[in-house]
Amino acid sequence: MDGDDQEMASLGAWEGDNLQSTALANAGIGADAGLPPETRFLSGVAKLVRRRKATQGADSDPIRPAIFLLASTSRVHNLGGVAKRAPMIDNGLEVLSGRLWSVNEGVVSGHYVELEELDDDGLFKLVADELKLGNVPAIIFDPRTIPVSVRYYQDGLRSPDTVELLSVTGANVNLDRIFKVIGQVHRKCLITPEAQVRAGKLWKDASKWWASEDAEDLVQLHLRVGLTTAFPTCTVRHEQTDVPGRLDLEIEECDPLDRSRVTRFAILELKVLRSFGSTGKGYPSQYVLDWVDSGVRQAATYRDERGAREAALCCFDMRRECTGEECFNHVRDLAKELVVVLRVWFIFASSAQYRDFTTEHR
Amino acid sequence: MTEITSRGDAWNAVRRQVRLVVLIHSAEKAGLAPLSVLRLHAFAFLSNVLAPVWEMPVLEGKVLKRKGGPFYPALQRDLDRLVGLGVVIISNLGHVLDEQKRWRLEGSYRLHRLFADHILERVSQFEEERRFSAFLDELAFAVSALSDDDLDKASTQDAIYSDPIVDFGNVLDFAEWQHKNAAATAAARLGRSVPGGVRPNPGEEIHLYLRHLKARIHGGR
Repeated sequence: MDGDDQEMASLGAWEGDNLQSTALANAGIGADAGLPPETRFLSGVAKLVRRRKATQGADSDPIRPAIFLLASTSRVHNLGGVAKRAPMIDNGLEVLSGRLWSVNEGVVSGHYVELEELDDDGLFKLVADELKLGNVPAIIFDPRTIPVSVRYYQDGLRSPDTVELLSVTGANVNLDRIFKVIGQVHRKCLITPEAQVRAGKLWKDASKWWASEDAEDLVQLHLRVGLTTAFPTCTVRHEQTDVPGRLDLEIEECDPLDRSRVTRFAILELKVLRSFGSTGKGYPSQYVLDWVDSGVRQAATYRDERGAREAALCCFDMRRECTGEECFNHVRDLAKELVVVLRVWFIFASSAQYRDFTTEHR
Repeated sequence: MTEITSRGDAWNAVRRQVRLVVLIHSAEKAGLAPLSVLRLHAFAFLSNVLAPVWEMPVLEGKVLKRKGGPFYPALQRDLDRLVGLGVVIISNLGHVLDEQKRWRLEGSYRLHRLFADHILERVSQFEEERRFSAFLDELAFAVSALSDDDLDKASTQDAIYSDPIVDFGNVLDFAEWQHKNAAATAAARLGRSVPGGVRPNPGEEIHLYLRHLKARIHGGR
């Protein structure tokens, strides 16, 4: 059914309802579907804490830590007593601190039990030893510190040294910070076939430089995970366009209390440059040049349509020769005119190629 | 021919039971379990009407409109069978008299992990089942925004189930002979109402649908 047909189609009992009001109040919930559970969990809790902090009356919340566990409710029941269900915790109306929470990865709802007065070691022992949940991803929200701290334990509270501090004060995202994150994702997950997880290889046949047909999707997923982790109070939207091969990421953050007020920090137009497709079909160099040119124009158009602050064309170069930023030579003036920032990351077909390259450019 | 048909029926029954296990698993992940009989059927109904949003095939394209909310006799038989097999555990067992003045088993259902985890592990090896599972997970997360009372009232405000055009005792057909799915249409319309020209993903549309359903339960329109 296309858009016009849908406009004509019946809404059944909802005919005449004010759907826009619902959409304004709840936009963004579920936008992170498809990300790994741990990534959704950390972002969901960071947004929740930010929202709660901004909610009237939150000043009188107990100044005691809250523990969030990505675990099913039944495990928290082991603590004794019945865990209380809190549907819609994401509205920020529920007191968070002084409680042990089990939440689902969407952090839409949760169950909690009140925590006894325990010192920090006691809290860790409670989760790891008493509940036997020391290995599930956990977040501790600590309002005792100034500013409040939110600590993410990816491997659970049994591994207290594997901890990451999450910012919940609202992100101040710009392209420099975004490129830094993309650089880290590139080094960790994309740069060579060995860095890529088995389930998500960018190469169909690396020895022949045949790129996978899923390369764009995989690059996009890695970037969504990396950017969401780095900017947990933001939503990283991936645009599903009807244009084949066109991929966009949009980094936005809504007001903690009003989801309809959104700051769009940046639009990233992603392009994967190939020498060969997954069946060995060659990509002429002119095709690649045109591809880059269209990327600059799309990034600018998209930024203007969305009212985003900045736009960038991010290329992931899987071609045989690493030519650095030469792929942008023909669009530099255009990019300057349209105020689109250009960046490229090379994806090597083998560790040997990567070693040779780094040796030559030392 | 008869043998082929019965083999096909048996295969379909197994497939339905497996999907029921996945459905309860998703409910557990979302913190909804144990599920009472009618809440489980309400969740199954929502999975049928919202499947097109996730571009999944609809498993049951019609349902009898009852005052007490959706109820699928075939699903209940599958559930009873899974209880018999030990894959599903029933607690708070009792009997209730339904609106047709028939006694019906009442209870709360959850998975027996020892058996269910093996099934879920095997199921996850199939791409289509993984997609189905991802859909049910997201739906369960969205449904978890409803309180228990809300979930009991969900059918009274659902775009399809509460449509006054169809009276109680008649069949609601949204994907069997007819292809007028007001719920999927509403989810898409909600998606298009998101400000800023954003095109929400199916997950977001499902959450919006459930949020509007909740608003209606509490008197909003």
